[in-house]
Amino acid sequence: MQCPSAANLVRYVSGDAGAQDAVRIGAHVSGCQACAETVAALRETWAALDAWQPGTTGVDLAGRVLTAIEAEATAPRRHRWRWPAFTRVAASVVIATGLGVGAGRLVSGSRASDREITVADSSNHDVLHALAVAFVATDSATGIALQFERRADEEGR
Amino acid sequence: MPNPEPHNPQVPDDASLMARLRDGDRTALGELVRRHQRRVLDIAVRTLRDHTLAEDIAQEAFLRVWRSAADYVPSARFTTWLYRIVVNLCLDARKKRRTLLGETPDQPDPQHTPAESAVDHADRAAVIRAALDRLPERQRVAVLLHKYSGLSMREIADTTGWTESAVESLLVRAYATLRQKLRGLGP
Repeated sequence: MQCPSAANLVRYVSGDAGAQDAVRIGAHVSGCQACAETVAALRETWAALDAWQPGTTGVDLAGRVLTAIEAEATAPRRHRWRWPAFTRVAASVVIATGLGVGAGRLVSGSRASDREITVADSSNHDVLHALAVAFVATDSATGIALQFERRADEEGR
Repeated sequence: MPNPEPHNPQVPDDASLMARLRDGDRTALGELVRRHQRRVLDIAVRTLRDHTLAEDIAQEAFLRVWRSAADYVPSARFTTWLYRIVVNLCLDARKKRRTLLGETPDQPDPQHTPAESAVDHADRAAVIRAALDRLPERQRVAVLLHKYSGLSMREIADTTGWTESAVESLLVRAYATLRQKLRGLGP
């Protein structure tokens, strides 16, 4: 018979080999000096490790666990008052639109002198510009609001 | 390998207790704690070398059992799941302690042979603890679960999530190292 693997010799010594394998490995070990030496060394190590027996703590773990559960179950839950989701999104849209329109007017104001010179630029261009800025700002503000909401949900979990 | 589960048909098995716990029966948890606390505390004490911390870890492990009862699916043995919780909590605690105290991660030390140095043989337990401490973490966990918790290699693999061949390799190397460190120590 081929020599058992080192892992199977560990199984053999620790009693984890299973009945049939234990008989087979035992028969091999009795006729193989190398495996017999390995098994003897493993047995010596295995027995030496028995010398370390940490004392028991004697704690009433069941009592501690049940007390902790009781405390956790009866602890008052934190209630956080929150605006409804649509209110928060709507508020962010209003604020962002205001900011965007304001920014657009600021831009169109700064272009006034250009307009006076070129004349060809219509005021429609500035309105469109303001709307575009408002749209981008609204989109960003809504995204930020949703991010805050998601983070608040995660923290509250 | 010792089997912590009861064989008496009059005594509810772990899965039945978990089902009762899922239905809100906290006495079932008390029974699970009493049934498994010795093994859980033993793993925690041997891994952490700190009885107070080990008790806290054991308590937290059973609290997690309670919190997870609703999602528990008895696909594996209850003890496999429980020991996995305990081992993970212990490893996290060791990591935190290393970070807080500035300890270095465990490294094998081939130069150190306490059994051959001037060691008081009356304190063999200290020599064993030192030898185990110098094993790489995965080897040490494998030995603790194999030698002291009585888990088979298959069960260690299930508990830790490592492959069985990895566990075989870890244990073979660990016992070879321990053999050198503990040579002459005697039983």
